[in-house]
Amino acid sequence: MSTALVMALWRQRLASPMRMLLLFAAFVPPMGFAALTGSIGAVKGLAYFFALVIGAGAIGQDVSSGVLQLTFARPLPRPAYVVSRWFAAGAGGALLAFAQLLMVTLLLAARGMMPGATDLLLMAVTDVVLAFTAAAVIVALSSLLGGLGDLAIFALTSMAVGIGKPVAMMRGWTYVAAALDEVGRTLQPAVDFGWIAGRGAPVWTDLATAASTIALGLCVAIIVVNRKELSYAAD
Amino acid sequence: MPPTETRIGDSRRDPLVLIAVAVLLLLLRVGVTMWEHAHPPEAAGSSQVLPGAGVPVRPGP
Repeated sequence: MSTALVMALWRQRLASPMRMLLLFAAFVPPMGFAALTGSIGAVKGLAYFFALVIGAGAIGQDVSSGVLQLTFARPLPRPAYVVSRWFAAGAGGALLAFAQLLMVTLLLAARGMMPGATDLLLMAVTDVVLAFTAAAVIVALSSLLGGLGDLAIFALTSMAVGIGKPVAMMRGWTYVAAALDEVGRTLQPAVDFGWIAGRGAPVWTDLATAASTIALGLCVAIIVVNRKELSYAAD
Repeated sequence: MPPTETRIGDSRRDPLVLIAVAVLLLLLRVGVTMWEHAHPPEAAGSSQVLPGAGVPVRPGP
């Protein structure tokens, strides 16, 4: 992994007004909602969205803009480039979620509604898993399409799952519904670490799904990037 | 003056170990999904109310 590439992605994202606006919209209003309701549940799962916004176009935009040719002119292994992009998006998403959780905790503590340490720990662990899973998904999609095509595929697939699953269940197409459910869980695993605090039994399917999604996403991205033939004459 | 860049060999190494891990995790996912489909885990915070008793009880181990 290259620290310079991780820092470069973060700098690029900080300089993008649209991304900053999206991140602001997912950062500040839910904090107000959490303060109003007195529950940290209002900011649950946002690490996934943060990582998605940071990671969108992580590879595709480099391909479209011609940056990749310059990047690979350096002695940089392509797998290291992909892993750096993935780590930057995942760590960025997790750090933003931590910052949000910290501010919500301070807000609630100021109002005398300090959340329990166990709940905070569970939320933080969930944020890390969600952020790095989202980063793997978006980096894999970004390796397949130029520009922000990864977001288009993500949105279309999510819509297809969201619409197709209830329709398949209504029609009694059990296997289609199950397949769409698996696609949905691959894109966005529903992890619940409540069992660490003794709330229910561990759901190993969720953990296996998240781990599998991360490994598969990185594999796809590395294999695709390894096979890219880059040339200024290509376009 | 920047340090001289050293050659690192093939820059397009296929991630064989990662591919093996991904395949194993995929098989694990399929296996665990089928197992938990047959033996659903206790849902978080689940409790039952005994009919007529009105006493919430946790399912036994």
